[in-house]
Amino acid sequence: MDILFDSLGALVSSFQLLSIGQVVMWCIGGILIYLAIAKEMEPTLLLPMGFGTILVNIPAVDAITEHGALTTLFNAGIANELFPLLLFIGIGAMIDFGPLLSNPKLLLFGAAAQFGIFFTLALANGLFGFAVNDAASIGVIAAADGPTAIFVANTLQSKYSGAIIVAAYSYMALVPKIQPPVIKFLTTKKERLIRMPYEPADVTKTTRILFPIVITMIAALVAPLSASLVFFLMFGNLIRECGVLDSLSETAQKVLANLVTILLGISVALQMQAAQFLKLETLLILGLGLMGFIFDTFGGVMFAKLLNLFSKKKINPMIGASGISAFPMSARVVHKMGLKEDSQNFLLMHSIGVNVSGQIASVIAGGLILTFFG
Amino acid sequence: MSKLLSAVNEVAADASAVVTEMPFGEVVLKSILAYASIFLVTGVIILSIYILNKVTSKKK
Repeated sequence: MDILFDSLGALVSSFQLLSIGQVVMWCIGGILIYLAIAKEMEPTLLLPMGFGTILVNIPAVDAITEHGALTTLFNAGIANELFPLLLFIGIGAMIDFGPLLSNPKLLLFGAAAQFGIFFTLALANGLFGFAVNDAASIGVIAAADGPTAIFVANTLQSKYSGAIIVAAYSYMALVPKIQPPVIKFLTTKKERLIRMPYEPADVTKTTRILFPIVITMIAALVAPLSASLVFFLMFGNLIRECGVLDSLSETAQKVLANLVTILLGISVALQMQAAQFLKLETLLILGLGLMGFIFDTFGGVMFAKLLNLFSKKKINPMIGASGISAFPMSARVVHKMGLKEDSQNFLLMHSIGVNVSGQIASVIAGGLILTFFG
Repeated sequence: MSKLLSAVNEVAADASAVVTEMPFGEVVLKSILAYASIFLVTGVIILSIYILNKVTSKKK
């Protein structure tokens, strides 16, 4: 009889340890899975994160013990920032910097659109009292760049990494909802109708090959703490552009990127345990992340409007909003808004150029955050 | 060589210590400086691209 009761006790022991917070996290995991599948919002990240969230909130699971599978994966790839860097190889291999190289001034819009990072950082620290390292990590949500957000949050040892990563990827997927009302608020109809004919300059293959090397050297010299981020991104781009490593480029874009994304998604879930995630600060972080994206858009658009005061050739200020690093969603948003105002106004190549410049600027911003606040 | 290594280790140790507290005025100032620095760095990159484009198209 004792054996029977002991066995039954062992079966229900987990239920006894279950807390309401963990049940809430199951629901949050379910929401992430729903958003990934039904709404197709960043499914590559939100699905593994959602499922992992459910797992790590089941009491006494071995996956989150000291030598558990998720802990091992987390230590192997997140704690040492390896997974985001490997993912950057794939992202670099996917990006065509041609539109930017043919009109390098577009980089300025990418820089301008990082305004939200620093505004959010100051807000998080000054108004909401987050510690500087946490405020800086929260600010980097507005970089709209998952690997950079993970890299900075871990390097700064932020205790809100889970919320930061969920916010970064969720808002990246929500760019088509967040940006249009902000752009419309900041621009007039006349400004939105400005046409920008696309006159691409020739970009030689040599330029395309030397570009990633030169950028890496410049960024690493100016902000050494951004060197890893820039190197891995530009390495991916170099293997794409060199023309002799097509199989490696294809592997980086598909196999490597997908593999690392799978491992990243499930290992980040380790941060989604109820005790770490269910805090008032999480709601604040989600709100601050949204502010960051809004003020990124503000920074890019207002910079374009400022340039229009001095420039004879008018710029459609909407393209400034593409400087947010959410590639290629932000570029498509601006292009669609342009077509809606004027069906003959094709802003895509300009907005793509600005969008890829945002990718570079966000990585530099991440490095500068580490330099100034690390 | 050993002096160089110990200096590098000292910098690395400093780099690994994370800052958690900072006067708000300093936070604002550093935020402005960091934001301005992005423009500085991108300015250098833009110049580099122009030079690259010019040099490589001359070679044609």
